[in-house]
Amino acid sequence: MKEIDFKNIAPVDLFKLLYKFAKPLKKWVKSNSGTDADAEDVLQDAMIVFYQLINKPEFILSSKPETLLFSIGKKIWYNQLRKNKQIPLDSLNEEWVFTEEDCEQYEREHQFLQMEKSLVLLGKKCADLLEFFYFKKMSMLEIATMLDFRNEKVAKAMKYKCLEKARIIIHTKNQEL
Amino acid sequence: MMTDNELAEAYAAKTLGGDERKGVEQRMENDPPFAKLVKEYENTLEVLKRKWLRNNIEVAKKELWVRKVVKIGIVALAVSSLLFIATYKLLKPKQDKTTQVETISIPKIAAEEPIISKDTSLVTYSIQVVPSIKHENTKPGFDFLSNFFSNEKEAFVNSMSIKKDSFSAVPMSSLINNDYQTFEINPKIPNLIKCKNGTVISLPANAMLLTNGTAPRGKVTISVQEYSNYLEMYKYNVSTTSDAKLLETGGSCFIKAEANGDSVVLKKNQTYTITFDSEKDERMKTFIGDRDSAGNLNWKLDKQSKPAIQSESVVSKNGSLMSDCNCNKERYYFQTVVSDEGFYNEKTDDYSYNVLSDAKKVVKMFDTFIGIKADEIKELYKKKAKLRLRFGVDSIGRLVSCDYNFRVNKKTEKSIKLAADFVIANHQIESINKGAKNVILSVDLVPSLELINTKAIEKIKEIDSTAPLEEQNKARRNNMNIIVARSFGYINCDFFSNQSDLTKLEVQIPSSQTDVKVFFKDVNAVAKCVNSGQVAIFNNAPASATILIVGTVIKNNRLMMALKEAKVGEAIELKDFEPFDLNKLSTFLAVKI
Repeated sequence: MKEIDFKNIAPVDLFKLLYKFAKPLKKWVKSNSGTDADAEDVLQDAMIVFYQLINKPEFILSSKPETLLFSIGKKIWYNQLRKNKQIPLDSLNEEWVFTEEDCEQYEREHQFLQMEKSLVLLGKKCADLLEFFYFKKMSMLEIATMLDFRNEKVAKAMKYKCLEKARIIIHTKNQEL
Repeated sequence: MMTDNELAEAYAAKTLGGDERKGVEQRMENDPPFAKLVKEYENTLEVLKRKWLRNNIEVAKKELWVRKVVKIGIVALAVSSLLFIATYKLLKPKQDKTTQVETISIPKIAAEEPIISKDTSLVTYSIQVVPSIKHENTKPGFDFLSNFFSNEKEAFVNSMSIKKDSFSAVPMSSLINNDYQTFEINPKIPNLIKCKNGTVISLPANAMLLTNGTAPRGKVTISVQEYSNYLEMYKYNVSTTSDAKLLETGGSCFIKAEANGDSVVLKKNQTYTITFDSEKDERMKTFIGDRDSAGNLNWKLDKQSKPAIQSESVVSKNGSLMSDCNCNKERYYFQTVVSDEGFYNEKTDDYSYNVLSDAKKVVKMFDTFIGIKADEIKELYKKKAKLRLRFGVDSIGRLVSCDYNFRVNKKTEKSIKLAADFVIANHQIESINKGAKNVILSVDLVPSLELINTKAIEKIKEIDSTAPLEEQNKARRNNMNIIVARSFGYINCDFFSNQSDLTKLEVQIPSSQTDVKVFFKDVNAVAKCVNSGQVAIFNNAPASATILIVGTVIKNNRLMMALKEAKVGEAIELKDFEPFDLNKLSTFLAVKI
C-alpha cells in the first residue's frame, strides 16, 4: 500500500481517511454509555486533535493512524464522562488516570468548542471571507470575485471588519466561560 | 507603520519574519495589554481554524456518504437485474416443438409506482435523503419537511435507487431554517411585537448591539418562530424536555435579530419580556434551548432570569394603555402635568422614556380609576397649583403604580392648606412624601392601589361584557404567562412536570431509524423517544397519561408516518405506516398550548 504523507494531505482527504478508521472508536464510545450522537462528536473532536497533532513540526507519527485516533478519542470521551460525573474515577483503568495536564487540555478543548459555537454570530459571508483568506490562502482579488465585492480594497476592508467582529465575539465568549 | 492590531494579527497569523516576531515577543513581555491583544488574535484564528476543520469534516462525511449510497445503488441495480433475468428464465415456458405443454402465463412486472400520485386526494412525496448535519450554521442541501408544510406540490426525487423496504431516518436537523415571521423595528424606541399566534415580545429602547459592540443604525429585523400548538412543535422539531426530564410548557419561540445581515444581540444585563398566549401559571420559568447535532432541542433553566413583574390587572376604559404602552421598563410612566398652561405631557431626565400617551388620555384614566375629574383639575390650576399625574404600568399595560404630585407655586399657609384639603377631601391616601429638590413644595400623594384596583376590576368586567373582541383580547392578556428573557434564540416558558408516578414508555417500531415523538394530552408536554433497536423509549413518562404518538420514517425513499393515541403503560406498537399526510397530522395534533 502506498505510504501516506499525513503531514501534507489536504484536510478533507485526511478526514475521509480517518472516517474509515472510525468504527472501533464509535463502537467503543457507545459501549461506554455514549449515544450515536456522542460517538460522532467524539470522533470529530478526535479528528481535529489528530490533524493538529500531526501538523506540529516536531511530531512524528510512530503508531498506526487508527491507533492514534482511537487513543485520542478514548481520552476525549473519558474526560467528558469524568466531567459529567457519569463514572466514578476509581472505575477507570490505570491507563486512564488523568494528569492535571489532561484535564486542562480537555477544559481548553471544551472552551474552544464553545467559542466555535459562538461564531454562528459572525454571519456566513464573514465566515467565508476569513476562511478563504486564512486557510484557503486565496488572494484578495479572488475573494472579491468569489464574494461579490466591488474590488480588492473592499474585500480587504471587509476582512479587517470581519476579523475584528470575530475577535470580539470570541473574546466575549471567552470571558463568559 | 502597522497599528497594534495589525501587528498582533500578523503575529498570530504567523506572517511576520524572524526579527519582527522576536520584536513582538519582546514587546509582549513588557507590555501586558499588547500581549493580551495578541492572545485574543491567536484565540480568534485558532477558533476559526477549528471551525474550518469541522467544515472539512462535514464535507468529507458527505462525500463518503454519497460514495456509499452510489455503491449501494449500483449493487442493488445489479442484484435486481440478475433477479429479473433469473425469474424470467425460470418462468419462461419451454418451447417444445413436438410436445404440447400447458402454457404458463408470465406474471406482469409491476409498473413502477408513481412518485407523485396527483390524481388521488392523498398526495405522496418522494424524499431525498441527506446525512445529518452537525453545525447550526451549516445549511442543509434543502429544506426538508418544510416542503410539506408550505404545501408545495414539488417533490424531491431521489436519483438513486434504493432497495425495497429500506429505512432511513428523517433528517430533523434540516427543519430548523424556515418559516419565520419577520418584523422590522426601530431599535431606538420601545417595541411591542405581536406575533400571529398571540405571542407578544416587548423590547425596550436601545437594548441591542451589533456583535462589534456598536448600536445598530437603522432598522433591525426580528425573526420569530412561535411554537404555540402541537403541530408547530412537530413541524419545528420542538420537544419540551430538559436532560430527558419532562417540562410542561406555556409556550415557546425562537427569536433572532439582524441588521443588514449582521447578527444583533442584546446588551449585557439587558432583559425583555415575552408574553405567551396560554393560561397563566405561577410556576412558569424561563428556559433556554440548544439544538444538538441531530437537531434535537434540549432546554435548560435560565437560573439568572428574574420573574416578570406580577401585578393587579388593569385595562383602561378606552384601551389606551394597552395600545400606547410599547415599553419594557419595569415601571413605565404616563405622566401629565396640569397647570395654568393646560394639560401637557412632561418629559424630564427622570422620565425620559415617557410620553407615548397623550395628556388627555391620562387625565381620563385618572377620572376612571381614581375619580379626579377634569373640571376639578382645571379649578386647581386656576388657584396657581400644579398637579402632576402619573401612572406606572408594566410592559403589557398593567397598572403597577399610581401616584400624583401636587405642587403649589408659593409655599404659603394658604397653599399648603389647599393641598391638604384636596388630599383629605378627595382620596384615600396611603403615604405622603414631602419635599423634593428644586421645587417650592412637593407633596407626593400615593393613593391606595387597592382602591384603584377595585375600580379597575369593575372596569374590566365592563369591558369583558361589552367590549369588542380586540379589547377582550387585551383584557385576556392579563391572564397569560409572561417571562423575562436575557437573550435571543430558543426561549421557553416552562416548569418541571411534577407528575410523581413516572414510568418507562416503550413503543415498538419497524425500524430503529423511526423518529417517534410523544405529545401528552393532559399536560402541555412533548418528548422525543430514544431508539434502542426496534423499541422507541422515553423514560420519564407520567404513568397512565394519554398520549398522541407520531412516528415518521423514510421507507423505500418515501416519507411515511404512523399516528396512534394510547395510554402510557399499555403495550404500544406503531405498525400502520402510511404516506405522510399533513391534513391528517394537523387533525391529529390539533392541540393548542
